[in-house]
Amino acid sequence: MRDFSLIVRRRLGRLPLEPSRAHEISTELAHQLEDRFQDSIERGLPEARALADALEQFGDWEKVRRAILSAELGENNMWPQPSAVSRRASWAALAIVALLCLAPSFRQALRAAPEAWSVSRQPLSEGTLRGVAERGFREHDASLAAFAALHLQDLPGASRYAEQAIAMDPKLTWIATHFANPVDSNPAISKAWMERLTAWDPDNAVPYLFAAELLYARSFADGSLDDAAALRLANTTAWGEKMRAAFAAPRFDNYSQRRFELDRSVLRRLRVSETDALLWYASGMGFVNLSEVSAYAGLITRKLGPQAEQAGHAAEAAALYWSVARFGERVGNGASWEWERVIAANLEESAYASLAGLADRTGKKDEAAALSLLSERAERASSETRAAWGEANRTRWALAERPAMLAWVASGLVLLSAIACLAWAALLGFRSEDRVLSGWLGGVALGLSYAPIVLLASSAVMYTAMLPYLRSAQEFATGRELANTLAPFWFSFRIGLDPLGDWRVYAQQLLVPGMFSLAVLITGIAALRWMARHRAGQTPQAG
Amino acid sequence: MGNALKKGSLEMLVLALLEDRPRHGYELGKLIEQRSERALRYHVASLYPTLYGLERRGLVQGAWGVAKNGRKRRCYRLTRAGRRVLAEHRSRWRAFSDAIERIVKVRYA
Repeated sequence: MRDFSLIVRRRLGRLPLEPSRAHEISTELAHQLEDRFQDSIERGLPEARALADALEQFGDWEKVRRAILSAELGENNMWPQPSAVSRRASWAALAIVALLCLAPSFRQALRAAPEAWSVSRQPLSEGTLRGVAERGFREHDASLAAFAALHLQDLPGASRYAEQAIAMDPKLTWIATHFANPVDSNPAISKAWMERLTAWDPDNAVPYLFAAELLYARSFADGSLDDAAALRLANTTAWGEKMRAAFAAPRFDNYSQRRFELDRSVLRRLRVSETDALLWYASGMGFVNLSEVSAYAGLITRKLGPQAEQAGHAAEAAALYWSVARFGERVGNGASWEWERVIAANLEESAYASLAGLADRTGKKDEAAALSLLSERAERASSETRAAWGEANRTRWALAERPAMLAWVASGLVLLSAIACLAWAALLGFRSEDRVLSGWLGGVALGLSYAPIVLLASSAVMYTAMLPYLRSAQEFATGRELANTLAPFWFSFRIGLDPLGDWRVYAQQLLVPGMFSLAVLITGIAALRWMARHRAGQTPQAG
Repeated sequence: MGNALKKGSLEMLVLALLEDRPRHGYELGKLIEQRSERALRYHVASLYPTLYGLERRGLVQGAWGVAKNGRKRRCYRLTRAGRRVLAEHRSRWRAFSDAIERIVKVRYA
């Protein structure tokens, strides 16, 4: 005995009606199937043919289902499907998200969401930066052009913008630091800008250090700079001369504060005042190679100074040690970051220790004692800075890790659910006739109906997790203060779980083509299904 | 026969077939096919939704009963409102077919 009810239920799927009514309809259709089957058997057809004949009268089951639901519920009342979120609730959720968007900090959180998941992590694209520069030229605003020059990845283009910015306002010549730093530039561009920076600010040690860095990079690209290597470098190139000039220069200023202030003011004018963007630019700032400075100081205190002492030139040795000590003080005074302070203290410590030894050996016991005290003080300052910096850093990163991870996951959900909400609004939010779907389309529709609620929930979680870190850039006076307060959260947020490691880059590159292929596949399947139905609807027997 | 014409006529056909006595869905489909000498055949996707729509509008009333073959079937009977609508359908159909008839005769007479 065939179970015709089962055949009907399997093909028709679950009807989103009162259970008793759904049962009544499927039973009635099962009777229709059974009657036709029996008639065919009585006409002498074999069972298999009889069943096929009976099923043929139903045609497309999806069409049967839709027609029944349309008749039962009316064209305008076909939603919701059972267990789907109602249209009213979905629109209400979207309305709440829209209301939350009125809060500037929420908008800031929303803007940050794609950054953790995007292929490009630059706060402003190359095109936008070029637009900023062009605006600067139009409005005769050198700071806009200087900002673009500092952040464009295209080095020759950035260099041209920098030329034009300085031509408009020579006080901005300090932006030459960005191009003069051999780490961020190429040798030709670096050399030209270095000379320009030296001519503009000859009292600053930084341009000389860049020149020394360039010579070091040419000669010892892969080598470590121990005393022997440093001596060889000093004897064979102008490296020693450049380092001497740097150590003798009255000032040490890497212009990081000026750059921070320029970034902050321009971002504010561009209405990109998020601390996240400012932090990104502050973290991309190039620095002077202070390990090279330490190497040169080591060469003086361990080689050149003692050699001068052994040759009986105590005054020359003292002058060498003092150059290191004074330079350490200047670096400490101009330091923006903790590691600069630590290296400055180390320079002072080694220089004062050498001076104390020299004073002791030349019979100046009191002076030796005083210099020893200075050396000890510098050593203490170095270890205290290191310890405080390390401890504070560990605490800050530990505290920021969980909210950053939560915000990272929630931001991914926000992005996915926002896309799903667009699909929901386009396919289901306004139209009633297409809402009752069975099979996989019904599953998709059911899933989409949850998108606005998921968007609301994930937005709320993301916002809550980010809230303590959604600070205005104007609250921070220095890049260091900004980095210490916010870097642990925003860097953890940007990196997220990162289970892919280095493969993340490949995955990100594949994301857009993958999504595109998926969209083409879904569209193709939908088009083929539609064509198949359309053709079936044109057959003569179709009712 | 054109699909649009068939679809538009089904409601009237169902009401007309229920005028004599209650019938179940399968019987209605068969009667339409037989009496139209197989010129009209309706898929389930048309017949049952039409019945459910008529029931929702109160023009027919369905109830479980025993059919002539002794099986339990859901049979539909015409309600008073259904008779009134059938009369309107008939009147409109007569006017429509007379109009068509007149045009066709004049053109090809």
